[in-house]
Amino acid sequence: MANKGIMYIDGQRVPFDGEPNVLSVIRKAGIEMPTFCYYSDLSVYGACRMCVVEDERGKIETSCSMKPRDGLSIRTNTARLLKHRRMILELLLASHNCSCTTCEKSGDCRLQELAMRFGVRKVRFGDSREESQLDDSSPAVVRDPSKCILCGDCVRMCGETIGMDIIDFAQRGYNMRVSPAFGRTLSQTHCISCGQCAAVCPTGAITIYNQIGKAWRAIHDPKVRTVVQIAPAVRVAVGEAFGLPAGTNVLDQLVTALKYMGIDEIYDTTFGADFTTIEESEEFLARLEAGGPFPMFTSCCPAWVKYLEMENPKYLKHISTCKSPMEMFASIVRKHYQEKDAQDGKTTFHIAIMPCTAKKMEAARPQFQHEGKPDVDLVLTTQEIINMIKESGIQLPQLDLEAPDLPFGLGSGAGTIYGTTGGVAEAVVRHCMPDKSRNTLRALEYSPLRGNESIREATIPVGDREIKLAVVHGLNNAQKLLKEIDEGTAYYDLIEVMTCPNGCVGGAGQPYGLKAKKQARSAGLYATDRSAPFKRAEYNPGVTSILQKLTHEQRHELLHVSYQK
Amino acid sequence: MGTTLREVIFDIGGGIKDGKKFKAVQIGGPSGGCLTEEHLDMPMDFDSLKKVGAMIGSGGLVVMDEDTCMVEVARFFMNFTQNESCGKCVPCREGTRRMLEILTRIVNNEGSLEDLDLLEDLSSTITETALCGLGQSACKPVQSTLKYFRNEYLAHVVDKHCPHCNGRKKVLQIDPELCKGCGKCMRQCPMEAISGQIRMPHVIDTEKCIKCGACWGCCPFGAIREE
Repeated sequence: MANKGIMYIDGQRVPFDGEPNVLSVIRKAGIEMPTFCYYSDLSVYGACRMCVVEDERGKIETSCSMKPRDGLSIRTNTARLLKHRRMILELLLASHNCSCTTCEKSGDCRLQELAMRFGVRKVRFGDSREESQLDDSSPAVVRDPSKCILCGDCVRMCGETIGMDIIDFAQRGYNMRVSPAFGRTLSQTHCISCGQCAAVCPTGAITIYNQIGKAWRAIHDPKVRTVVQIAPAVRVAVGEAFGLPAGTNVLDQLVTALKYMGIDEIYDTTFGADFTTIEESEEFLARLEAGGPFPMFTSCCPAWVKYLEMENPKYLKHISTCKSPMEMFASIVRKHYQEKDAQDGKTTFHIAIMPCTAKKMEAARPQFQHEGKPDVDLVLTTQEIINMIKESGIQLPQLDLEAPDLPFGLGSGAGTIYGTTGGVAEAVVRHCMPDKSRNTLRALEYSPLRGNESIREATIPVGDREIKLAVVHGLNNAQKLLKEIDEGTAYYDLIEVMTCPNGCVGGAGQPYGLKAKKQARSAGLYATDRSAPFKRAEYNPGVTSILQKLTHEQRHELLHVSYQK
Repeated sequence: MGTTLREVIFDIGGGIKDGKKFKAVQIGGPSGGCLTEEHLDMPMDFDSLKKVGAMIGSGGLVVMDEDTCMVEVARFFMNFTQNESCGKCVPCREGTRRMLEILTRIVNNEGSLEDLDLLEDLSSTITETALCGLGQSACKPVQSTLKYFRNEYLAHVVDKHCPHCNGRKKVLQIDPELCKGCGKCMRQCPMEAISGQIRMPHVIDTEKCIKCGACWGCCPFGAIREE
């Protein structure tokens, strides 16, 4: 039975119904409780002590670790509490590398925001920080321990949601640090570059590896043709930085903005996703004929592929041989511009705008290099492209609409929903199901393929066979599923895995957002799918015409890859 | 329970050594409070001790005579709790470290009156917001000495001269001429501040040394000097 009742917050009568802690009830009452270490998608840690409240007897407790009780009366802003919060902030600032103006996180830093909110203008303690080493060894994130406030968000994210436990607390007391085991750098660990640690870091201690400079150099070089592809999840998140509600599809404004910034050709990754749908479906149908190996795993998520390589290589043969949509697209673009480059003497520079930090790692993989040059020259995250738009002074919401360029700018609705959990599986099912009527599509809308549960199962009839599908998001859930498969307690034919919670819309490259925001982005993608002119990959004329022209060998070379050693 | 402190210290414990005057008693382990002469006739039980800012805690008593500097006592116990802090919550991890910094500054006669206010502010935040019992009681020695022995803090801060501990601010050193390198002092030192090879003169690391005098007491050659 849900915990129900009435609480009194600063004298205001607030009913609660199943909220996990007093802090969420306070937030429901419209009071923005300050905190560093409480993140509603993770477990309660209670270390920052910012969310303290005072009860009727004057006892001070943290609201994040307090259970709501019927009749409980608390105050959130007494003189004592404010004094303590200011002191805690002052203590944190004293040990923090306050190089705010040049910090990657400036303007978006919770320590900065709260210090401003509580009017901490002076730090009465001397700087006694010990020197720390910057770790920029990872292709996805940069760790600067001098800015760490030891809230443990990254540690819990890496352990609880991703299930990798790459970073943890080391040493104790004042010497406590967040670090990979034995003080290694990230590149020496099994880090899968998902970047979720950076997504939850309240300060600049873990930030996304910033490559904006490289992008500008390419854009401003007259001898370089810049080609951009925009991933599905990006279009429903960029608007958030310009005051639009989460889930607003701003693809067309984004195209205009990129044109203004000087990018030559702007395409849509959903075009690549349609290739992936067709190739993956055909591979799946072929496996059905050949009898395995099952389950077949999707291969779109680079962090997931990396995880299997590092931790569970026996399943590598189960993973689809299809490249990810980004890399398929990049192969097609490379082939397309080969002749053109030779004709006009320009070099093509391929930029992929992704919601993902692991794509930076994927782009650098040896499998996706040709003649020493990567197919995707640069991966920019949503956050980086937002910064570039802001740097250019472009007011995104006021822009005219412009569609992505042809021939690679048009994707199906199925390609669009790749950006959310369940989308890849649904696209494949749409392609595999022999019944192409509108009613089957509508039935899929209400199937377990859509939703927010971390592990979802569906049984779909294909031909004379019922296929068992699973959709998983959050890598720890995928690990659970693998364990069940190992033990023989679960069987699936096809499993879609996304490392980040809620799929790509919740990627680490996206602007900061909690569960509700990520779900709004997913809803935005489904809305785009509903209004798409065609909803199945095989109805994409651009894709089918290219596939027809390719020989079997070419198709294999361009669109497939092997991760097995 | 209920026995007075006077009975424990003077009747059972036999009073102060060498006929010196009683000054303070620190009760309840490293995070207990310091009590004075006026509390000696108070019965020892949970409630009455809590009222005066001390606690029964481990039940241990540290009795101090007139030669003891109470600021140094507060610094000594803060050093202990700071070392014991696990580092999880902010007030204890950062706060006890800053408390120790300020106390060390005051003991070295480098403190200011603002430091006393800062100590009080920090103490209240750490006591009221720390996650566990260690942090919540870590400031008791500081709070109680600030309350009952404020004049000693003022001696350090305003007069820049403390009659009790300035004599002890001396540095302990080993006379290389007298030291035979037996290693006794090295084994006795609680801070591992002494290093050296056997049969060679040993050296005291003055940074680590807490001037406890353990080496001085055990040296068979009288090689430890105060400078």
